[in-house]
Amino acid sequence: MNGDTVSNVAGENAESAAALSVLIVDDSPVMRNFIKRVLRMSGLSIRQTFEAPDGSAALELLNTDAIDLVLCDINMPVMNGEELLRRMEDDDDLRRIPLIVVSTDSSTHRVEMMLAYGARGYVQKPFPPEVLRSEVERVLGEHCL
Amino acid sequence: MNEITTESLTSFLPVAVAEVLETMFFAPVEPSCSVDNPINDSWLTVAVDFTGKPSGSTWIWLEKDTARSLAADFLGIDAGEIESELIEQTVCELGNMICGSIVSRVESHSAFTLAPPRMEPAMSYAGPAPVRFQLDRGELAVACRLLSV
Repeated sequence: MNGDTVSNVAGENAESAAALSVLIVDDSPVMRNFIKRVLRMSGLSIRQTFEAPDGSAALELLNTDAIDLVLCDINMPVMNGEELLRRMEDDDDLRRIPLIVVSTDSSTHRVEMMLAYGARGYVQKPFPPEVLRSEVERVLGEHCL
Repeated sequence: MNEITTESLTSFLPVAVAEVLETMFFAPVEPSCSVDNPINDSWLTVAVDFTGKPSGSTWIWLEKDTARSLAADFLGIDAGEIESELIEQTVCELGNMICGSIVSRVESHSAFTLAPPRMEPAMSYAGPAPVRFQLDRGELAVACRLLSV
Protein backbone atom coordinates (compact mmCIF):
# COMPACT_ATOMS: atom_id res chain seq x y z
CA MET A 1 0.00 0.00 0.00
CA ASN A 2 1.19 3.47 -0.65
CA GLY A 3 0.08 6.97 -1.26
CA ASP A 4 1.18 9.47 -3.83
CA THR A 5 0.03 12.68 -5.33
CA VAL A 6 -1.42 11.97 -8.75
CA SER A 7 -3.13 15.07 -9.90
CA ASN A 8 -3.01 18.77 -9.57
CA VAL A 9 -5.80 19.81 -11.85
CA ALA A 10 -6.73 22.69 -9.59
CA GLY A 11 -3.25 24.14 -9.96
CA GLU A 12 -2.29 26.28 -7.01
CA ASN A 13 -5.48 25.33 -5.26
CA ALA A 14 -4.67 21.62 -5.16
CA GLU A 15 -4.16 21.73 -1.44
CA SER A 16 -7.52 23.36 -0.88
CA ALA A 17 -10.26 21.60 1.01
CA ALA A 18 -12.09 20.81 -2.23
CA ALA A 19 -9.35 18.52 -3.55
CA LEU A 20 -9.99 14.86 -2.79
CA SER A 21 -7.94 12.14 -1.17
CA VAL A 22 -9.04 8.85 -2.70
CA LEU A 23 -8.31 5.34 -1.45
CA ILE A 24 -8.28 2.66 -4.17
CA VAL A 25 -8.77 -0.86 -2.79
CA ASP A 26 -8.15 -3.68 -5.26
CA ASP A 27 -5.95 -6.76 -5.15
CA SER A 28 -4.86 -6.19 -8.74
CA PRO A 29 -1.98 -3.70 -8.96
CA VAL A 30 -2.68 -3.07 -12.64
CA MET A 31 -6.32 -2.26 -11.90
CA ARG A 32 -5.29 0.14 -9.14
CA ASN A 33 -2.95 1.77 -11.64
CA PHE A 34 -5.73 1.96 -14.25
CA ILE A 35 -8.18 3.58 -11.81
CA LYS A 36 -5.52 6.03 -10.71
CA ARG A 37 -4.89 6.94 -14.35
CA VAL A 38 -8.63 7.38 -14.97
CA LEU A 39 -8.89 9.68 -11.95
CA ARG A 40 -5.90 11.67 -13.16
CA MET A 41 -7.47 12.16 -16.60
CA SER A 42 -10.98 12.74 -15.34
CA GLY A 43 -10.68 16.40 -14.52
CA LEU A 44 -11.71 15.73 -10.92
CA SER A 45 -9.74 17.65 -8.34
CA ILE A 46 -7.61 14.92 -6.78
CA ARG A 47 -5.09 15.86 -4.12
CA GLN A 48 -3.77 12.41 -3.30
CA THR A 49 -4.44 8.76 -3.99
CA PHE A 50 -3.78 5.90 -1.62
CA GLU A 51 -3.72 2.23 -2.57
CA ALA A 52 -4.51 -0.94 -0.65
CA PRO A 53 -4.52 -4.55 -1.91
CA ASP A 54 -7.26 -5.71 0.48
CA GLY A 55 -9.77 -4.53 3.06
CA SER A 56 -7.46 -5.00 6.01
CA ALA A 57 -4.77 -2.76 4.56
CA ALA A 58 -7.48 -0.28 3.62
CA LEU A 59 -8.71 -0.11 7.23
CA GLU A 60 -5.21 0.76 8.40
CA LEU A 61 -5.06 3.65 5.96
CA LEU A 62 -8.56 4.81 6.84
CA ASN A 63 -7.55 5.01 10.50
CA THR A 64 -4.34 6.92 9.86
CA ASP A 65 -4.95 9.16 6.85
CA ALA A 66 -7.60 11.67 5.87
CA ILE A 67 -9.54 9.89 3.13
CA ASP A 68 -12.52 11.51 1.37
CA LEU A 69 -13.61 8.62 -0.82
CA VAL A 70 -13.04 4.86 -1.12
CA LEU A 71 -13.18 3.02 -4.46
CA CYS A 72 -13.34 -0.66 -3.57
CA ASP A 73 -13.35 -4.05 -5.29
CA ILE A 74 -15.33 -6.92 -3.73
CA ASN A 75 -13.37 -10.12 -4.32
CA MET A 76 -10.03 -9.72 -2.55
CA PRO A 77 -7.89 -11.93 -0.32
CA VAL A 78 -7.41 -11.34 3.44
CA MET A 79 -10.50 -9.10 3.76
CA ASN A 80 -12.97 -8.64 0.92
CA GLY A 81 -14.90 -5.51 0.05
CA GLU A 82 -18.08 -6.66 1.75
CA GLU A 83 -16.29 -7.10 5.09
CA LEU A 84 -14.51 -3.76 4.69
CA LEU A 85 -17.85 -2.07 4.13
CA ARG A 86 -19.35 -3.73 7.23
CA ARG A 87 -16.37 -2.64 9.34
CA MET A 88 -16.68 0.93 8.07
CA GLU A 89 -20.42 0.99 8.78
CA ASP A 90 -19.74 -0.21 12.34
CA ASP A 91 -17.40 2.70 12.98
CA ASP A 92 -18.89 6.11 13.79
CA ASP A 93 -16.10 7.95 12.00
CA LEU A 94 -15.51 5.69 9.03
CA ARG A 95 -19.18 5.36 8.10
CA ARG A 96 -19.11 9.00 7.02
CA ILE A 97 -16.60 8.23 4.26
CA PRO A 98 -18.45 7.29 1.07
CA LEU A 99 -17.52 3.99 -0.55
CA ILE A 100 -18.14 3.24 -4.21
CA VAL A 101 -17.91 -0.41 -5.25
CA VAL A 102 -15.87 -1.02 -8.41
CA SER A 103 -16.41 -4.66 -9.27
CA THR A 104 -16.76 -7.14 -12.09
CA ASP A 105 -19.83 -8.50 -10.34
CA SER A 106 -22.89 -6.54 -11.42
CA SER A 107 -25.50 -9.15 -10.66
CA THR A 108 -28.65 -7.65 -9.19
CA HIS A 109 -28.19 -9.77 -6.10
CA ARG A 110 -24.71 -8.39 -5.40
CA VAL A 111 -25.50 -4.75 -6.23
CA GLU A 112 -28.56 -4.71 -3.98
CA MET A 113 -26.62 -6.39 -1.18
CA MET A 114 -23.71 -3.94 -1.27
CA LEU A 115 -25.99 -0.90 -1.43
CA ALA A 116 -27.98 -2.29 1.50
CA TYR A 117 -24.75 -2.65 3.47
CA GLY A 118 -24.00 1.02 2.96
CA ALA A 119 -22.17 1.43 -0.34
CA ARG A 120 -23.04 4.82 -1.86
CA GLY A 121 -22.39 3.86 -5.47
CA TYR A 122 -21.59 0.97 -7.77
CA VAL A 123 -19.47 0.88 -10.91
CA GLN A 124 -19.23 -2.31 -12.91
CA LYS A 125 -15.94 -3.33 -14.48
CA PRO A 126 -15.41 -2.84 -17.35
CA PHE A 127 -16.21 0.84 -17.24
CA PRO A 128 -15.51 3.79 -19.52
CA PRO A 129 -13.63 6.57 -17.68
CA GLU A 130 -16.63 8.90 -17.84
CA VAL A 131 -18.78 6.41 -15.92
CA LEU A 132 -16.38 6.38 -12.97
CA ARG A 133 -16.18 10.16 -13.03
CA SER A 134 -19.95 10.64 -13.12
CA GLU A 135 -20.48 8.16 -10.29
CA VAL A 136 -17.87 9.93 -8.15
CA GLU A 137 -19.55 13.26 -8.89
CA ARG A 138 -22.99 11.87 -8.10
CA VAL A 139 -21.85 10.44 -4.77
CA LEU A 140 -19.85 13.42 -3.65
CA GLY A 141 -22.10 16.10 -5.10
CA GLU A 142 -20.53 19.49 -5.33
CA HIS A 143 -17.65 18.55 -3.07
CA CYS A 144 -15.54 17.41 -6.01
CA LEU A 145 -16.51 20.08 -8.53
CA MET B 1 -34.94 -19.38 -13.85
CA ASN B 2 -33.63 -21.38 -16.81
CA GLU B 3 -31.15 -24.17 -16.23
CA ILE B 4 -27.61 -23.03 -16.86
CA THR B 5 -25.66 -25.12 -19.32
CA THR B 6 -22.21 -24.89 -20.84
CA GLU B 7 -23.90 -23.81 -24.06
CA SER B 8 -25.81 -20.96 -22.40
CA LEU B 9 -22.65 -19.72 -20.69
CA THR B 10 -20.77 -19.93 -23.98
CA SER B 11 -23.49 -17.86 -25.64
CA PHE B 12 -22.49 -14.95 -23.38
CA LEU B 13 -18.86 -15.02 -24.54
CA PRO B 14 -19.02 -12.70 -27.60
CA VAL B 15 -20.78 -9.86 -25.79
CA ALA B 16 -18.66 -10.25 -22.64
CA VAL B 17 -15.37 -10.31 -24.56
CA ALA B 18 -16.37 -7.33 -26.72
CA GLU B 19 -17.53 -5.36 -23.69
CA VAL B 20 -14.25 -5.82 -21.81
CA LEU B 21 -11.85 -5.43 -24.73
CA GLU B 22 -13.56 -2.43 -26.29
CA THR B 23 -14.24 -0.58 -23.04
CA MET B 24 -11.03 -1.10 -21.10
CA PHE B 25 -8.45 -1.91 -23.79
CA PHE B 26 -9.80 0.12 -26.73
CA ALA B 27 -9.48 -3.01 -28.88
CA PRO B 28 -12.21 -3.83 -31.42
CA VAL B 29 -13.18 -7.52 -31.45
CA GLU B 30 -14.43 -9.76 -34.25
CA PRO B 31 -15.42 -13.43 -34.14
CA SER B 32 -12.74 -15.69 -35.62
CA CYS B 33 -12.73 -19.16 -37.12
CA SER B 34 -8.96 -19.40 -37.20
CA VAL B 35 -7.70 -22.93 -37.76
CA ASP B 36 -4.15 -22.22 -38.87
CA ASN B 37 -2.97 -20.69 -35.61
CA PRO B 38 -3.42 -23.43 -33.02
CA ILE B 39 -3.25 -22.64 -29.32
CA ASN B 40 -0.03 -23.98 -27.85
CA ASP B 41 2.09 -23.45 -24.75
CA SER B 42 3.58 -20.27 -26.17
CA TRP B 43 0.21 -18.58 -25.54
CA LEU B 44 -0.40 -16.88 -22.21
CA THR B 45 -3.26 -18.56 -20.40
CA VAL B 46 -5.29 -17.47 -17.41
CA ALA B 47 -8.02 -19.37 -15.57
CA VAL B 48 -10.61 -17.85 -13.24
CA ASP B 49 -12.77 -20.11 -11.07
CA PHE B 50 -16.24 -18.92 -10.11
CA THR B 51 -18.40 -20.36 -7.35
CA GLY B 52 -22.13 -19.90 -6.92
CA LYS B 53 -24.99 -21.39 -8.88
CA PRO B 54 -23.50 -22.50 -11.20
CA SER B 55 -19.80 -23.00 -10.41
CA GLY B 56 -17.09 -23.44 -12.99
CA SER B 57 -14.15 -21.73 -14.59
CA THR B 58 -13.35 -19.38 -17.44
CA TRP B 59 -10.16 -19.88 -19.45
CA ILE B 60 -8.57 -17.25 -21.67
CA TRP B 61 -5.67 -17.67 -24.09
CA LEU B 62 -3.68 -14.86 -25.69
CA GLU B 63 -0.67 -14.77 -27.97
CA LYS B 64 2.23 -13.14 -26.12
CA ASP B 65 2.56 -10.20 -28.48
CA THR B 66 -1.18 -9.60 -28.24
CA ALA B 67 -0.96 -9.65 -24.46
CA ARG B 68 1.97 -7.23 -24.50
CA SER B 69 0.08 -4.79 -26.72
CA LEU B 70 -3.08 -4.96 -24.61
CA ALA B 71 -1.11 -4.46 -21.40
CA ALA B 72 0.64 -1.44 -22.85
CA ASP B 73 -2.68 0.19 -23.75
CA PHE B 74 -4.24 -0.68 -20.41
CA LEU B 75 -1.35 0.73 -18.41
CA GLY B 76 -0.42 3.63 -20.65
CA ILE B 77 3.14 2.29 -21.05
CA ASP B 78 5.15 1.84 -24.23
CA ALA B 79 4.90 -1.81 -25.36
CA GLY B 80 8.66 -2.07 -25.67
CA GLU B 81 9.20 -1.10 -22.05
CA ILE B 82 6.62 -3.24 -20.33
CA GLU B 83 7.83 -6.04 -18.04
CA SER B 84 6.60 -9.63 -18.17
CA GLU B 85 5.15 -9.38 -14.67
CA LEU B 86 2.94 -6.46 -15.67
CA ILE B 87 1.81 -8.32 -18.78
CA GLU B 88 0.77 -11.32 -16.69
CA GLN B 89 -1.00 -9.11 -14.14
CA THR B 90 -2.90 -7.43 -16.97
CA VAL B 91 -3.86 -10.77 -18.49
CA CYS B 92 -5.11 -11.86 -15.07
CA GLU B 93 -7.23 -8.71 -14.77
CA LEU B 94 -8.54 -9.26 -18.30
CA GLY B 95 -9.57 -12.77 -17.24
CA ASN B 96 -11.18 -11.46 -14.09
CA MET B 97 -13.28 -8.94 -16.01
CA ILE B 98 -14.33 -11.35 -18.76
CA CYS B 99 -15.32 -13.99 -16.19
CA GLY B 100 -17.19 -11.39 -14.17
CA SER B 101 -18.98 -10.13 -17.24
CA ILE B 102 -20.06 -13.68 -18.15
CA VAL B 103 -21.38 -14.70 -14.72
CA SER B 104 -23.11 -11.33 -14.25
CA ARG B 105 -25.32 -12.27 -17.19
CA VAL B 106 -26.46 -15.50 -15.56
CA GLU B 107 -29.88 -15.42 -13.96
CA SER B 108 -29.15 -16.69 -10.48
CA HIS B 109 -30.54 -16.28 -7.01
CA SER B 110 -27.06 -16.48 -5.52
CA ALA B 111 -24.12 -14.13 -5.70
CA PHE B 112 -20.99 -15.37 -7.44
CA THR B 113 -17.51 -15.34 -5.98
CA LEU B 114 -14.56 -15.15 -8.32
CA ALA B 115 -11.29 -16.73 -7.24
CA PRO B 116 -8.04 -14.88 -7.93
CA PRO B 117 -7.01 -15.43 -11.57
CA ARG B 118 -4.12 -17.85 -12.07
CA MET B 119 -1.73 -18.36 -14.94
CA GLU B 120 -1.82 -21.88 -16.38
CA PRO B 121 0.03 -23.84 -19.05
CA ALA B 122 -2.09 -23.46 -22.18
CA MET B 123 -2.39 -27.15 -22.82
CA SER B 124 -3.48 -28.06 -19.28
CA TYR B 125 -7.07 -27.22 -20.21
CA ALA B 126 -9.65 -29.92 -20.79
CA GLY B 127 -13.19 -28.90 -21.63
CA PRO B 128 -15.43 -27.44 -24.31
CA ALA B 129 -13.70 -26.02 -27.38
CA PRO B 130 -12.55 -22.41 -26.92
CA VAL B 131 -14.32 -19.65 -28.85
CA ARG B 132 -11.85 -17.61 -30.88
CA PHE B 133 -11.82 -13.86 -31.44
CA GLN B 134 -9.77 -11.68 -33.74
CA LEU B 135 -8.41 -8.41 -32.37
CA ASP B 136 -6.63 -5.74 -34.35
CA ARG B 137 -3.40 -6.99 -32.75
CA GLY B 138 -3.71 -10.77 -32.69
CA GLU B 139 -5.96 -13.51 -31.42
CA LEU B 140 -7.72 -14.37 -28.20
CA ALA B 141 -9.66 -17.48 -27.22
CA VAL B 142 -12.11 -18.03 -24.36
CA ALA B 143 -13.86 -21.08 -22.92
CA CYS B 144 -16.23 -21.71 -20.04
CA ARG B 145 -16.32 -24.96 -18.15
CA LEU B 146 -19.14 -25.82 -15.76
CA LEU B 147 -18.32 -27.87 -12.67
CA SER B 148 -21.72 -27.85 -10.98
CA VAL B 149 -25.11 -26.25 -11.40
